[in-house]
Amino acid sequence: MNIEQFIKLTDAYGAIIKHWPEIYQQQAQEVIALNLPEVNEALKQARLLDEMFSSHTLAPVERTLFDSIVASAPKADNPLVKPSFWQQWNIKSWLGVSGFIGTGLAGAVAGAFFVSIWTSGLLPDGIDGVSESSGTMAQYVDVGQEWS
Amino acid sequence: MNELDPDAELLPRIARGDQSAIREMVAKKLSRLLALGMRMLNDRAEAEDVAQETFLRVWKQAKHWQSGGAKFDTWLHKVALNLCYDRLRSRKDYTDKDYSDENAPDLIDPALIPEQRLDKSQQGDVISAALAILPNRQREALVLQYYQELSNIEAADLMGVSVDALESLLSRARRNMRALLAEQGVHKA
Repeated sequence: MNIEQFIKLTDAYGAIIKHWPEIYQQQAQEVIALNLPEVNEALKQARLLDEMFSSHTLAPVERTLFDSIVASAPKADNPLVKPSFWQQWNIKSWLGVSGFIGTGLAGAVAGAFFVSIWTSGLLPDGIDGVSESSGTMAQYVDVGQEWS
Repeated sequence: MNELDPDAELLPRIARGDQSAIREMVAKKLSRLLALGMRMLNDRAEAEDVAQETFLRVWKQAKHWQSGGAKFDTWLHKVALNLCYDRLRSRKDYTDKDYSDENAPDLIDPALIPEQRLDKSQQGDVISAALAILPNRQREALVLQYYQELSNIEAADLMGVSVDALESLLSRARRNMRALLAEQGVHKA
């Protein structure tokens, strides 16, 4: 980098070399190290202007603005957010579906267990008769008669 | 790509309505957007409107955002700048030449700084006034490069100009600011 290029870049980017494009920073430091009067003068002028710029501060963000922007953001019931098909299948939906399936499976397992015991001949004879519809009804009627 | 764009991981969470991600995004970007709007428009209320409108665009864009393209912060600046220019165009003193002419005069007449602003003793007010009368493109270049600390490539990309053109705008902006501030006795030319 020659002196003219350095001064041109100082005019554009100011005196703070870390604000310069990275590709120029190393070369700029090398030029500064030469301690040349025209380089020092360019840096001095640019530094004065940078200091003016940096004195331009702004009032902090007000809490009400922050809150109103946050409030404008999407929420679960906000129309800005249209959940996709898969997003709609949230955890509650899955719990409902899995509960239904689980109950059905439990019934099926219990039924299979009962049938397997029945067919293996382990049940007592009295219970064997209950499985017949007519027997079930007869037992029910008998009990009712005793209560009366 | 997310490691290069620290904002990108917040966007899918924002799309799901994650309040902590929303608050984090606003905390990170609001003061930055407000500063951009203030320096471009020199009007606090308008700058706040621009910030609010920009965040509404963020909420809409969140679920469509795809990493790998422009950085989110660059996109955010583009949206805010467009909104700033919409407002600048609606002003009575706006001219197309002011907006688009890369060859705007190098030196501005310091007498253009409004009288009422000169009465204020605070240096910041004088700088605000000087920024406000810079040609729009010079002001935009200065604000993006110096105050918003965007890289030269990002700033040039946002402005749709080459890096050389950006550097030319920056040089003229700084020269004009130096002349304006010297006229007000704030800066020694």
